[in-house]
Amino acid sequence: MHILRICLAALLVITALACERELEVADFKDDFGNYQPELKVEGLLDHDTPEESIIRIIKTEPVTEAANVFNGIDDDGDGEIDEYDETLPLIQDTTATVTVTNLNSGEEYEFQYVTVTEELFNVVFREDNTLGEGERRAYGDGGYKPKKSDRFQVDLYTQYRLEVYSKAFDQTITGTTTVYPPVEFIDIDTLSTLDDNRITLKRGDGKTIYWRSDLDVTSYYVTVVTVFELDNEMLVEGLSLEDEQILEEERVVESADSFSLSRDKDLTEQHGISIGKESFFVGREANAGKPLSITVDALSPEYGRYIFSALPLNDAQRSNLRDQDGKPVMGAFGATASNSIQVAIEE
Amino acid sequence: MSGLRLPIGLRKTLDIWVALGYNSRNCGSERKRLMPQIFNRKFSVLTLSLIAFLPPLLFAQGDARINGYLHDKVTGSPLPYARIILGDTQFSATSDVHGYYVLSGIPPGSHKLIVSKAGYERVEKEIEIQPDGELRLDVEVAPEAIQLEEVTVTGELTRFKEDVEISRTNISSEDIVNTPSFVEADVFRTIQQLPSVTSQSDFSSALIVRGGSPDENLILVDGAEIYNPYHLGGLFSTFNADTIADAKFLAGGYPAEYPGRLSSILDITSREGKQIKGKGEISLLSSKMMLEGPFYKGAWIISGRRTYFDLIAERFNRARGEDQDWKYYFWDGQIKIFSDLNAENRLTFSTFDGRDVLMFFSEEEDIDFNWDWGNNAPSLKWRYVPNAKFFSELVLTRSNFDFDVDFTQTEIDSDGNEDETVSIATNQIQDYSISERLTWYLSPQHTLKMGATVKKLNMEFNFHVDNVNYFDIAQDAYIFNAFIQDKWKLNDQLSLQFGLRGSKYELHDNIYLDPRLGFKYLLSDNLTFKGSWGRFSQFLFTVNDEDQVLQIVDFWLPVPKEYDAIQNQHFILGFERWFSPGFTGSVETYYKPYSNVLTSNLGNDPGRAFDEFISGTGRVWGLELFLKKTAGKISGWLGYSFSNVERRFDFNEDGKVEKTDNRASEIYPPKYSRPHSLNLVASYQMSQNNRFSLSWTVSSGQPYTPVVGKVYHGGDRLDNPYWDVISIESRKNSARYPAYVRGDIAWIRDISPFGVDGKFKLQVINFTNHYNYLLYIWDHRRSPSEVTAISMFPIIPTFGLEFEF
Repeated sequence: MHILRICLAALLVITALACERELEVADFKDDFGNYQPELKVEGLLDHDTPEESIIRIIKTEPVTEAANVFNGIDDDGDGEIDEYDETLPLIQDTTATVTVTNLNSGEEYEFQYVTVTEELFNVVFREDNTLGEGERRAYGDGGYKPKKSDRFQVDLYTQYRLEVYSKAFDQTITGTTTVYPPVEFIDIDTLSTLDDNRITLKRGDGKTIYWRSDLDVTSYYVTVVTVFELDNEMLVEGLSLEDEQILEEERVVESADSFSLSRDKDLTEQHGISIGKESFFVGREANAGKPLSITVDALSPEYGRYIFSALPLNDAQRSNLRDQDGKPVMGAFGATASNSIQVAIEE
Repeated sequence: MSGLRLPIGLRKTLDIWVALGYNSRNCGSERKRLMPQIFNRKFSVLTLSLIAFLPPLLFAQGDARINGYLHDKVTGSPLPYARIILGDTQFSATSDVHGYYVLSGIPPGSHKLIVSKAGYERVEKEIEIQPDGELRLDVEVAPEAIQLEEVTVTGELTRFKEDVEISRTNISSEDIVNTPSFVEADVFRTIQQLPSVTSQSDFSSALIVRGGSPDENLILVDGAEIYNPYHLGGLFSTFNADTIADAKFLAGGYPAEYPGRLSSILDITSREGKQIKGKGEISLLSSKMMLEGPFYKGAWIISGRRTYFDLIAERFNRARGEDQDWKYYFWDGQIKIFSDLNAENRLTFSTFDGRDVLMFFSEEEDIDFNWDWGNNAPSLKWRYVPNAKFFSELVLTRSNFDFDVDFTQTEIDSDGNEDETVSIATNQIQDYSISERLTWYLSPQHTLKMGATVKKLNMEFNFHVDNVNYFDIAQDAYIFNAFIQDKWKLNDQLSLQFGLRGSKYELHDNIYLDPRLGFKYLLSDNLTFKGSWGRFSQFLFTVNDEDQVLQIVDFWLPVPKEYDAIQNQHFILGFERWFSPGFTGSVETYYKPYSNVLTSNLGNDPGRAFDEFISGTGRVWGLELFLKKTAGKISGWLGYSFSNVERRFDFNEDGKVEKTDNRASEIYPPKYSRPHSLNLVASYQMSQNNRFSLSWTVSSGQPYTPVVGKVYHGGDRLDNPYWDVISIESRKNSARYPAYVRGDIAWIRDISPFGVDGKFKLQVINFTNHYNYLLYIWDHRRSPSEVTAISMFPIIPTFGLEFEF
């Protein structure tokens, strides 16, 4: 047994030593050649809050990039290295002229670059699985938003055209999208729309929520917001704390869990209408009286294809954006419209 | 057909077909529903017509015959590839893998029958045969004392002259044992050293045969099809080398008798020994044991293997006062029992089982993870040899592959209440087959084979969390196929082998007809010219990410009804040279165009049905050189291959298949293509008790997709468009890792401690410690980006102890 242990240890050492090797990026010069940075554009029109529509234009970087995007230095002295605050301003293209045109009415809206403050909330779990002090961090993002004076509207079943001219890249990029209506929550047995977007569940219950959308809409974005109290600082089971957490008050936490979802193929085929569904559970110890809010965004087909596709970012079928020469540009231009349902928890 | 007077042989053939249930009147309720679809009128007329009319046209009347089995006198095991000669005539034959032989069309009278095989004593028997008579003659052949310089000769001149099959290699258990291997002898690792075959990486024993993906290989064990014959993510095959009597490997151009796979056939026959004997092996990885002995007019064999790394780690951790929070092990086993009920009938039952188990649990995280997967393939074979004209095999098999993942997470609140979330994913393939194969020794010139198979496939995939089902897919499909083929020896120089295989796949309306043709022309006594053409159809495939570096399990699916069967053609030409006894060489060139190749649809919209896969084309062409020496102190082979593999998919479905300079290119070599490959396998008998083995492989590096830039990307997360920094890539698989070089050496010493015969094996894998690249990992959160290489096997010494009793 002793010999076996020695052999085993020797094997592990050899394997550990031999398996990894740091290489020089310059060794790959033949691979990346003369790659030049290009633009990536993500534009999303928001039917419910048109003023929140945003066009993000960022630059790609070569692997040899030494422009200090990730320089490993705490540039702003906040104790963090290469966080969003430091890196995002370096990749934004702020030189662009952006217009969005309603192709039905011919109205043209100008978008202008603004700095947006986004918040990330870091949840800290203690070793005993209790929730520790959270930390809220703000970072500066950037994007092109509609001018407030333009009173930008996002109309349903309307086609919009995006046009971006980047001075830095001397490149004109265009794309079009159609806005589809929000989903309707339904009773799956009768396919009828729910009277009010509110359901009541008991602790320990499971429930699948169904909705329908326009037949062209195949993708959704779901956000589940849960409000609950920290009971003796223990994490109350059944409520996920996966993403951003916003500490509203000392002992109340709002948890937002969000994810992309496609429609249910079987139900869609069975009923001939686009049907989506999401299942969730209410924990047996969930706080009664604290509602859950489930919001479903119906994504335009262009944007749904973009976020779900495994095709390359610059593939002509993944991106609906083209430059002045007709070449595909990374990214997509799309639209979203949302609807919410409230879930009340009773004893 | 009722007005025809049928020959007795043909009536018997039809009787067998009817007995097998191909008459719908005999079907059960399930069959009644399915047979009209499977065995439609057009197909049945075609099949029966072929069987009905071809034999009478080819039949030669009035011949005398001798048939029988050859066995090893000591072990009782069949003696394949021995030469049987009628001494005073030109009549000769070679025994097949069962040791069976037939001499037909011989003149009546007294003859001397001679049986010879290298390593065995020559047997001579005086026989008397009547006109049109038949003589059944089973012969036991005694092994002769093997001289020091002599090694088993597996290639015989008769086989060289008479075998029409091209691209064929027979691997014996000696070949497997003498090839250096990682920890344990492995048939797949030995086959990977052949020029037709490459591997994906050191971590995979999957076979890449002439540019085909691993799911294009048919793996048969005693007639049962094995779907995932690997342990530990492909590091080891599931077959115990000790139980293998013969492994016939066909790298292309195989005849109509073999069912639908596009690249190769590996037909493994497990051993049959009648003497009481045992064999065991202890290595760093596992221990294995094999026992065999006589049974009622037959024999049995049982073998098993289990790894014990988990047990060692558990003791190690316990000694340190720590809990073992993981477990990984695999085991496999095989049982085979046969009985010669009488001279005409033999029944054989065999079963093959293998399973991997991976467990992980953590009290701190309240996690319990269990994953096991494996194969179970029992088969029952009835061999019926009524006379010297017919050889019939009826095989019933059930091959099962399954994996099962259970993940349980328990959360406990402040009051001590527990709440479990249980996630379970299961996948299962069940293959029920019944097949009949009939060999009809029509005349010295014609050997006719015909047969049929009904296969029922059940595939299930289920994934649920607590009581919510996320996936619940069940797909059943019947496959019916039938074949007929004739081996026609036109004269001493030219032999032809032609056949037709017809398949009806339940999910498709059409019938697939796959013709096969092969020839062999003897240019001189020691030089042959061979060729083959055939069409091949496949109805199953694996859903794997073709860019994935390591594949743990295969997820098999029947070809969906929306897609045609995957098909290709083989065009093969080659020369074979007999240099001296036990020393042969060959040159082969091939071209394989593919159609309807299925791969994952990169543009798949998960909200739309039937677009999960995309159909494309491909082509492979190449050249192979092969020298094999099986006699003398030094044995082994040297092989070189050049291949060009290309895949074409209209990934973005714009109607064009384009080659571009960026990642969007739709024409590319697959991940496993290696244009150049050189293999040397040599075994040197240093002294009576010592043998030294070397295997050396030099090949092109595998392709990879170059990284040219980086960009922030949110993926499918709309809440954070800067979720990750991802690579921007150039044309798919347009660059290659540095050349792959690996040398393995082994020293095998015969030992006999305490009077027990055995072997001590010391092996060093990659003894030059060459750094073979497996993949590059980029870290883009640095300026400039940083890249790390991960290698395949470094230098690894292993040893093992083998014993026999």
